[in-house]
Amino acid sequence: MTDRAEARLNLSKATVLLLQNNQAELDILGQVFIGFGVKAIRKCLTLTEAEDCIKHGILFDLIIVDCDMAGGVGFDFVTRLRRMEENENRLTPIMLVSGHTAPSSIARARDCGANFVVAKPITPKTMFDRVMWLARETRQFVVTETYAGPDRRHKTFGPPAGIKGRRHDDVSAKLGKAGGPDMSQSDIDALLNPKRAAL
Amino acid sequence: MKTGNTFKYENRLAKSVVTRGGMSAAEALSSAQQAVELVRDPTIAEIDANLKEIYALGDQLKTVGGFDEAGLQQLYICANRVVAMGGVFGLGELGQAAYSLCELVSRFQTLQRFHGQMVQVHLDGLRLLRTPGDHPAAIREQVLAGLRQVATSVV
Repeated sequence: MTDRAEARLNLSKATVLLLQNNQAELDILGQVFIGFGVKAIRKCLTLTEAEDCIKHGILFDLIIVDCDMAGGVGFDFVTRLRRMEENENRLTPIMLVSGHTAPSSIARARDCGANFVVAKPITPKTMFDRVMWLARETRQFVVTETYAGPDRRHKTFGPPAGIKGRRHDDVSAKLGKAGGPDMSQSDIDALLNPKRAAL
Repeated sequence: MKTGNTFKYENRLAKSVVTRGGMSAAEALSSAQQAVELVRDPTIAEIDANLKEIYALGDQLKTVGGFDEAGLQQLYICANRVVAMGGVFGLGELGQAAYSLCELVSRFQTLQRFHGQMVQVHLDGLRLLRTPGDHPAAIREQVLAGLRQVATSVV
């Protein structure tokens, strides 16, 4: 098992798409990834450029999208991409970067299908931590009528009390009947405080 | 109710986490910081350009005196750019003041309300925090705390 403290990042073969709302922010982000060793970076300032990259056969390992684009088009881009069933990029990890978030944008950020949101300013430290986090992402992909993207539940606590789960693997919080006789107190004690057997 | 489809998929980024080769966190951060330094001057110039526009919009809003939707939206956009860039090159407190201005404008937009002095005090804060070295840390903290208090008082 790899120790997290020893993990290294090799992005030399990764292809990254950056969609930002202005040149200065795009340049900063681009420089961060150049510093991380990424050689293939597609920098886009408009939705059209980004969609062209997606549709013309480039397979991305990571996509970073600005939440602060006019009209919230960054969210729309992610939503559309997650629905492109014929395009392999729909499963690519997507990170949203956001400055101040207006109340109207919070639900859109949650529901567009991105893996997660990172607050600006984007510093090398923040980005390294988040890329590492994304690389270890193991959540399943969910497609419903209203949402397509990684499972928004980071922990599997099951559905809230009193609500029936909507997924086949949701476990009910209600306990069923016991499958056998009750354990004795000594069995319970041994379970909670196991002692080394004297051989 | 129609159920959704849930499936496991290959995370292409996972192969970038390695035990040999590549970069350690320290190496990656050092390399990235060096690369980012190359855009320091244009970024600072961009921050100053946005501040200049913010100050001009502040004057414009003062003249109008009431709720000016277009002016407020432009003020929000410029301040949000300062949020994004300020912290990259040691102007993190300027970025926080800009964030507070965004919060204030956002609340004005939601409530269709406007209060010129609340904007002006933020502009004064931005001017002060643009040169953080000229002011003691305690003063800068008080200014930021005051700005946050002003912004969150709009309910």
